[in-house]
Amino acid sequence: MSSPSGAATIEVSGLTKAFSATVAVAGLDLNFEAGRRHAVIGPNGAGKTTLLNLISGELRPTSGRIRYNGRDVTRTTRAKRSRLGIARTFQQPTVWSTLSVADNIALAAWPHSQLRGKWRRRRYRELSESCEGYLETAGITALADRPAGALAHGERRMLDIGMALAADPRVLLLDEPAAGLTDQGVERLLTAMRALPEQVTVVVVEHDFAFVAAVADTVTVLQDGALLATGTPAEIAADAAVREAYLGESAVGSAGSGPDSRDPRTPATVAGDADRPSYWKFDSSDDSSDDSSEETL
Amino acid sequence: MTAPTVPTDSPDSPDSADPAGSNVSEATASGSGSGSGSGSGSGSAVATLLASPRVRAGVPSVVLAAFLLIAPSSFDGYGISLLSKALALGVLAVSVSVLAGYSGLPTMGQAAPFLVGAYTAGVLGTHGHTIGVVQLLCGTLVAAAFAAATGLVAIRTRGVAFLMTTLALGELTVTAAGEWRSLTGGTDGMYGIPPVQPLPGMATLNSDRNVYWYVLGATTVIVAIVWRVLRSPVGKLLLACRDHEARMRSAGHPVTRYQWLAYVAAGALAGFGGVLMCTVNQYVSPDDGSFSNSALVLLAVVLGGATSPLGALLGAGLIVATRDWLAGPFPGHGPLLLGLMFIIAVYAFPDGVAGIRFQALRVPRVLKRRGGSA
Repeated sequence: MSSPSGAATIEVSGLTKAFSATVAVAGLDLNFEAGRRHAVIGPNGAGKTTLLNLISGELRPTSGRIRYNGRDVTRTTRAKRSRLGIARTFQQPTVWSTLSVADNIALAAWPHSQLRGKWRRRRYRELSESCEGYLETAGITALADRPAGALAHGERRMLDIGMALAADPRVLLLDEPAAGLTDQGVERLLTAMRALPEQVTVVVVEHDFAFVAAVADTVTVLQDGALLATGTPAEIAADAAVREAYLGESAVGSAGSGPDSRDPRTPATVAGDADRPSYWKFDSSDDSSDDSSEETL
Repeated sequence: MTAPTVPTDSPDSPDSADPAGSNVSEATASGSGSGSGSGSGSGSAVATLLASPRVRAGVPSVVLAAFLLIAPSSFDGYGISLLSKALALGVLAVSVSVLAGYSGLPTMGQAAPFLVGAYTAGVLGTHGHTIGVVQLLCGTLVAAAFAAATGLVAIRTRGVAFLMTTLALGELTVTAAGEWRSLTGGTDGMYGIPPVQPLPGMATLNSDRNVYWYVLGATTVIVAIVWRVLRSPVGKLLLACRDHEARMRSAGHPVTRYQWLAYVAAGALAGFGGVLMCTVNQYVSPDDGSFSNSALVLLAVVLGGATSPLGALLGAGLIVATRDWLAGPFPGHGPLLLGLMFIIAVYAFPDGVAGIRFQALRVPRVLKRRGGSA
C-alpha cells in the first residue's frame, strides 16, 4: 500500500513444500537480489511454479522461511503480500473476463492506489508512469473498452502482466510468461520485459533457456526441488552439471551422441530439434500446485 | 458493456448513419400508424432505435414501470395483493441476484433473513409500532445482523458447499422460528398484525390498493439503491471476485471481506422484503422462510437473468403470477406449471428475461425482410 519505491529482496531459507508424498520444493536457500532480473529454470516437476506460489502466498510452505526485504512474510496472506509489493502473473493468464480491459487494470490497481474512492473508466491514466508505458507498448491501451474475456491468448497475457504492474510492485513474479505465445508474441513480450522499470525485482519462471537467456541476468536452476546451480546465463550454459541435467538434451543433441541422459524423467523438452526455441510449447503441466488449497483470510 | 458489436443496419437503409435521437420521432410516428404494414423504412428506424444501448437497457424498465403503475386500476383486490406479494418476493429475489449473480455465491437460504425481517415487523406491529418506515429500518437492521452472524459460517465455503450451508442455516432458522413460541407464536404463526402507516402522521393503510402503493414505493427506492450500488465500483469488485477469486487475492483484494459484506447486504435486502411481506399479509409464519421460498426466488433469479435486479423482480412476478393466478383454473397443479415455465424459460431465454432485449435486436431484421418481400 505504502507506494513502494526502490527494489526489494526476496530471501528464502530452508524452504520446503510437500504435497502428501511428493516433495515439490526441498529445503531451498535462495536470495533474489534487489533490482535484478532473475530466472528460475528447470525441467518439468522441478518445483519452479511451487516456489513462485510459495513466494506469492498461494501456498503455505511445509517448513522454512520467506523474507521480503528482511521482513518475515511466511505466514502473511497473499492479499497482504500483494499490498506489500509482491505482484505475480499466472501460467494461465487470468483476467476478470466479464469486465472491460480498463476495469481489469483499474481493479488490479485498486488496493494499491492513493486515489482510493475515485473511479473513472480510464483511471489508468493515473497509474504509475512505468505501468502506463508498459500498457502502451504492450498494446493494452488500445483495447481498453474490450471485454477482457474476448481477448486473444497473447493479449490476455499482456493484460495479465499489466495488471501485475498496475499494483506498482517492488517484486514481480512471472510464471512462464512465454508459454503459449506465438513468435511474434514472444518478441513483444521481450520488448515489454526489457522496458520494465529498473527498480522492480523480477523473477521469471521458465522452461525455456533461450527465452531466459534473453531477459535474465541471474539464472537459478532447480532440479527435483533443490538448487542445482546459480549464475549468469553464460555461466549456466557452460555449467557441466546443468548441461547434463537439463540443457543436456541440446548440448548432447548437437554433439550427436549421448544415448544415456542420466535424468530419470523423460523431459518433454527432448521432443523436437533442440536448437529451435520451443516457444510454442503449450505443455506446462508443471507442478501439481496450481489450483490447490485456497486459504481464507 | 458498451457493446462494440451493436449490429448496424444494412447499408441500404438511408438513416443508418443518423444518431438514434433523430429517429425517435419517426419511430413513434410509425408506431402510431402501427400494425402489419410496417415498411422497410420504419423497420430500420426501429432497428436503429433498438440498437442504441441506452434504449435497449431502458425499454424493459419502462415497460415494467408502466405495468406496475397501470395494473392496479384494472385488478381486483386479490390481484392487487398478489402484485404486492410479488414485489415483496421480488426484493428477496434481488437479494439472491446480488449473491448468486454478482458474487457467485448461489444461496438456498435467503428466505432466512427474509423471515427474520418479517418477524421483526410482526413483533413491532403487535407491540404497537405500526410506522412503516420504522418497521422497514428495524427489519433491515435485524436481518443484517442475522446475516452478519450466519455469514461468518457460510462465507467460508464455496459452490455446492455454500448451497448446502445456506440451506442448513435456512432450515435451522425456520425450526427456531417454530420453537420460539413466546416471540413468534410458534408454527401457528403470528396473526392479527395491525396495518401500518407509512410515515408518522399519515393515514393507516387499510385497503389493498394503498398497501400496494406503499409496497411499490418502498420497492422502487430499495431497488434503485441496489441498482446504483451495483453499477458503482462495488458491482465490479463483486463481479471480479466471481470471475477469478484467486486473481483478486493476488491483486491484494480482501475477497473474503467483500463477500461477507455482500452477504450482509443481501441479508439486509431480504429482511426489507420480509417486512414488506408482513405488511401485505398481516401474518407471519415459519412457512414464509421455508425452503420452497428460497428455491422459488433462486428460480426467479435464473428466470430473470442472474445479474439484473430488474430481471429478478420480473422473475418473481412471473413466478407469483404462474403459481397463484395462472394456476387458478388447475387447482393443485401450480408446481407443474412452474416446472413447465422453468423448462421453457431455460431453453428459450438462457440469459433470463433481462436477456430478451438482446433477442429483440433480431426482430427488426425479420420485419425488414418481410417488408422487402411484400
